[in-house]
Amino acid sequence: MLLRILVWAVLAFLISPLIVIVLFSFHSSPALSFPFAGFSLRWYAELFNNAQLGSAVMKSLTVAFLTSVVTLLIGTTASLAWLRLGKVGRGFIEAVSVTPIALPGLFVGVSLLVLFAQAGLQLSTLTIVISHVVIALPILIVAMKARLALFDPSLEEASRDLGASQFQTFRRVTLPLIAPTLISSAILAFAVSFDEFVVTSFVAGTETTLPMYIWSMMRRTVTPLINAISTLALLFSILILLGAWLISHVRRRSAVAARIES
Amino acid sequence: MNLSRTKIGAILAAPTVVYMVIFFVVPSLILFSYSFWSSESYRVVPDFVFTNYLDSLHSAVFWKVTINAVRIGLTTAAISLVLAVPVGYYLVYVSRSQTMLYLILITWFSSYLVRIYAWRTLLGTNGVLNAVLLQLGIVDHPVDAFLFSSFAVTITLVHIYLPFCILLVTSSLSEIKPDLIDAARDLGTSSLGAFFRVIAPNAANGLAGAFMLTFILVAGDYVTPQMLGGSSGQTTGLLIADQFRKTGNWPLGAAQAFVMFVISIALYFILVSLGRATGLIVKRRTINPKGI
Amino acid sequence: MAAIAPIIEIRNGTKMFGSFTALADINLSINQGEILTLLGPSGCGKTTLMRLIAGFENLTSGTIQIGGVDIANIPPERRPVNMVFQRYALFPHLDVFENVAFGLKVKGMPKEERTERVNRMLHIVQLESFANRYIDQLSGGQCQRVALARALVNGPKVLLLDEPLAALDLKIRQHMLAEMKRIHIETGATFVYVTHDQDEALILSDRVVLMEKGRVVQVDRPTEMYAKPKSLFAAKFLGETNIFETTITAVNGIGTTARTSSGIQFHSSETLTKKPSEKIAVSIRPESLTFQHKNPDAQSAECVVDDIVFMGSRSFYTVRLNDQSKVRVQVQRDGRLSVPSPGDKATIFWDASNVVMLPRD
Repeated sequence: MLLRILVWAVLAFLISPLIVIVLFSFHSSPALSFPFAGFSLRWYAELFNNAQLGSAVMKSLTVAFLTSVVTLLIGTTASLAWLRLGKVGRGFIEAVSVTPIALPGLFVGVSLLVLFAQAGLQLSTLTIVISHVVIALPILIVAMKARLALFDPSLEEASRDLGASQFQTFRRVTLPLIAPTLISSAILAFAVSFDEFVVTSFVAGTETTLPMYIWSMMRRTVTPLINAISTLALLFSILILLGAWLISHVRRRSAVAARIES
Repeated sequence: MNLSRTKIGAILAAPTVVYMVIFFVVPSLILFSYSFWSSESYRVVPDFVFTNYLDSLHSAVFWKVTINAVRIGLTTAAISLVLAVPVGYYLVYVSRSQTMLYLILITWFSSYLVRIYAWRTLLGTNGVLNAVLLQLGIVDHPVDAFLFSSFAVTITLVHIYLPFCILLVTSSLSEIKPDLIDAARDLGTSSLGAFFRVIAPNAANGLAGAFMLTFILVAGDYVTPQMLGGSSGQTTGLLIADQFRKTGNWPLGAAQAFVMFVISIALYFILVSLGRATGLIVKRRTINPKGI
Repeated sequence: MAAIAPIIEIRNGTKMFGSFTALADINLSINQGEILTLLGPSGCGKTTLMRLIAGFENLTSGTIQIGGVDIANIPPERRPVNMVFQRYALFPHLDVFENVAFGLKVKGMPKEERTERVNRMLHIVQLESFANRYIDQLSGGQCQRVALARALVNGPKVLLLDEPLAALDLKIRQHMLAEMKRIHIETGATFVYVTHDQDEALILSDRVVLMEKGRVVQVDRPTEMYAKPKSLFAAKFLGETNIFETTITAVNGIGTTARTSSGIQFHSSETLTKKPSEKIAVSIRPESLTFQHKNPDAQSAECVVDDIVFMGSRSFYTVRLNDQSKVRVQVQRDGRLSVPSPGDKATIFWDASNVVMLPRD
């Protein structure tokens, strides 16, 4: 019982600051303090008339979309490789591709910055996407590793044994089994990219993504506008997580249901 | 054509490996070589000198901010681990509550900057915490000291990195089968006793890993201390970041980054050998015995 | 064998998980020193019953007494029972000796006494030379012995065993059954043994508690339960049997007679409390059927041999009766007797003492 109270207290600690932000985004006065003066949507209205913000959001969406597509493509090949490799091969993939999770964004950011400088690559949307994939790919690999631990490699052999070609096996057996994980990981990659700040701040050059824009606002003044942006960003991450969850669960459930029916 | 399974595997692994080598391994190596180069009038010149390292190690400012970063890192990682263990235990052994897991994931994936901003709002002079304290009559005028203090930095960093720490702890605990707890209780320990005698020793490596990962990420986070720490918020990360922006001495920044890296690794080994010496960390045994 | 003094008394034990009834009104006494088996298909509630005794679950209603004491509010660590877990649940961070010593150490037993008792127990399970091995260096059978020793060293009033042999392969399983019997005799502890394997139950038990869907179906000695099942479920679950759907034609002082719709007649020397024209199921085990009658009173039926499965010392025949129903016959190998071949016409015989009449489900 004591444990349960402690656990919910920790959760309350994690959630309540976010709730405060959401609450103040609807505050009718610019004051960020109690008592509450009343509800209004004025900050949201201001947001939608802010052209700079609009272009930052578009930039972030573009970057996040490209990042998740590239991560998905590379991640799919990695998953298929994982199923075919032994301990050594898997260890090698893990060593080169999971380490960035355990490093501060600062390290990844500055090392990419020196790479781009050395290669003479102009900082642009391209360099942002390249960097975001470096962060998103490890997350996909970790998620995939957990999922593929449940995958029996003899399923592919069984399919070949039953007369399916290599491509048919991929299309009818392997892909349906790994697709939910891959797609939900791609969605997470989108979320990670959309929110990425530290690495971006080194490789963005003159480009402004949404977190960069929020950062510049935060440094200038404390305005309730940030609450409204934050609330939308929060809503967006929840929707993305929900999407990822639905894909991995509904697919599994429908597969089970189909099996029961037949 | 019939290539062997492993050959196909190697071909399929190529995109990932090549990408990560070009954009992660190579940059790290370039950064490392940068740390031996020199900087002349804001231009980087290939060289092989140790001045960057020597300058860093002889700089009082560098040590001050590094000690600060290590202190913030250790405090935050310790608090996070202490909070993460009961939550992880609850999630693994008591209730596999999906709601709770998703609440944790939501906080993990909610924007980094938003969370920093939230704590600024909460802790500011006109912030929510002061408003509540005034209302309750605990203080009679707003406390300025909440914001721009190591308290503000620590609580925010715990908030940012705790979800990650919980996920690490949860995954390391879930390797330990719940029937070990039943067995320990059947043999006479209380549930708390079962945790300390059976779960903790078996999870020790995983828990030490969670602590260390949290430490590394926190110690390298320079944005939070900068935004909430005021004068106490100077950390190595900020020093390094500034080298790559304002003053532009990249080789010096690179050297400082690797000094920080070495300090982190050294701390890890100190922690593990401390654990070994006190018997808290036992030699790793496989969790699943044969025949199962 | 077993002194008749109940060590565990369960009265009106009911356990609900939400709206699902895992155990319904269980009444059961477990005697001092016996090996009692809880037998049943998965989901019958046998593991729940064991976990209730161990203290990992609590009864929704009813009482459990151990040694005359109601244990409702006693947590598992203070109950005088110990458990051998299905997957052993041995502590991977401790060696064999430390695993076995765990319970005594927790109780604060002085080191010398503890060492002596652990060594004695390791001797009983024949693992003295493995004391310093870690769990991942042991075979399945050795893990099993450690689990037994770890529980028994605490001197429990009752030892609970949750499908302890399920994770072992057949050969080691048979060996461990014999070991378990020896250890039972050597320690004199009461064993409560959960299994879904009828062979284990028949070999090991003093008494078998047969369970189905949260209820106790029958409690009996293994031989009794095999020879005189009280329900169709018991007859089918324990061993193999042939079931015939019949209608009673006569009940009188010399027994009961029943007939299938195709006219095969069965006579049992038991006088049932049923009336003629009531439906009843007849069970005859394959080994109770023969192709040669030794007894002039034997009952019989005409058949055609369909198929023979040779299994070494015995063979299983599948024969078809006139009504096309299939019957299994077990024939012990005996070179002196001639036996029919597939396609042959034959007659099967049985004695009244082997006819078991059971109410239909």
